[in-house]
Amino acid sequence: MDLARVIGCIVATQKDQSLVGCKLCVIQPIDQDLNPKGSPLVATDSTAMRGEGEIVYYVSSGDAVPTGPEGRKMPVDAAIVGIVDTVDYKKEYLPK
Amino acid sequence: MHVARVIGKIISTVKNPAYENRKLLLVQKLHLDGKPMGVATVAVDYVDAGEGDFVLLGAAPGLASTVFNIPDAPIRELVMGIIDRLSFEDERKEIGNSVKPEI
Repeated sequence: MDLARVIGCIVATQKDQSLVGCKLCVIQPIDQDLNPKGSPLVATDSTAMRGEGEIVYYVSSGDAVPTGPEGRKMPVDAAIVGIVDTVDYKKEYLPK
Repeated sequence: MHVARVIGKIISTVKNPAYENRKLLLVQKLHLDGKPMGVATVAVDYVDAGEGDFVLLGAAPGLASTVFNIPDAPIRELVMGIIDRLSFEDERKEIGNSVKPEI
């Protein structure tokens, strides 16, 4: 699971039936210091709670499939699985 | 499986049901020479690892489903073991919790 920041949302009317009722958002992967890393991607939101600017963690590829409501399977390859309240780490443990 | 180091922890209240009652750690994957590989990732703890520990990091789809006995758990990284010592046949530097850090 990787950290990311929610930077936008996507409205899509025509989509796969299993994605109906599911929020889609644009997320920017970030590192432990909350600096952007890599390019943004689209993810579904299995917590149904996210707002823009929020720090979240997401799963990608095969792990994202069973993240629909009540464990329903969805044809997605990135899904937000939780919202981060705090990131707490010690710089001295970070290898150089 | 990867060699990694626990560098911190993540507090999260709103989360997918598969993550409930599980400790989330911030881990940094390592190359075998102790250098960091990529950016830090979030992992679910299974062996009660603490901050600063060198750990074994399992990262595969289906791994968490088997360990926690939940069908289709959307969990990728799992802390599977604590590394006491990782030594090499050649002159490479040892890694592990029981290895004294260089001063």
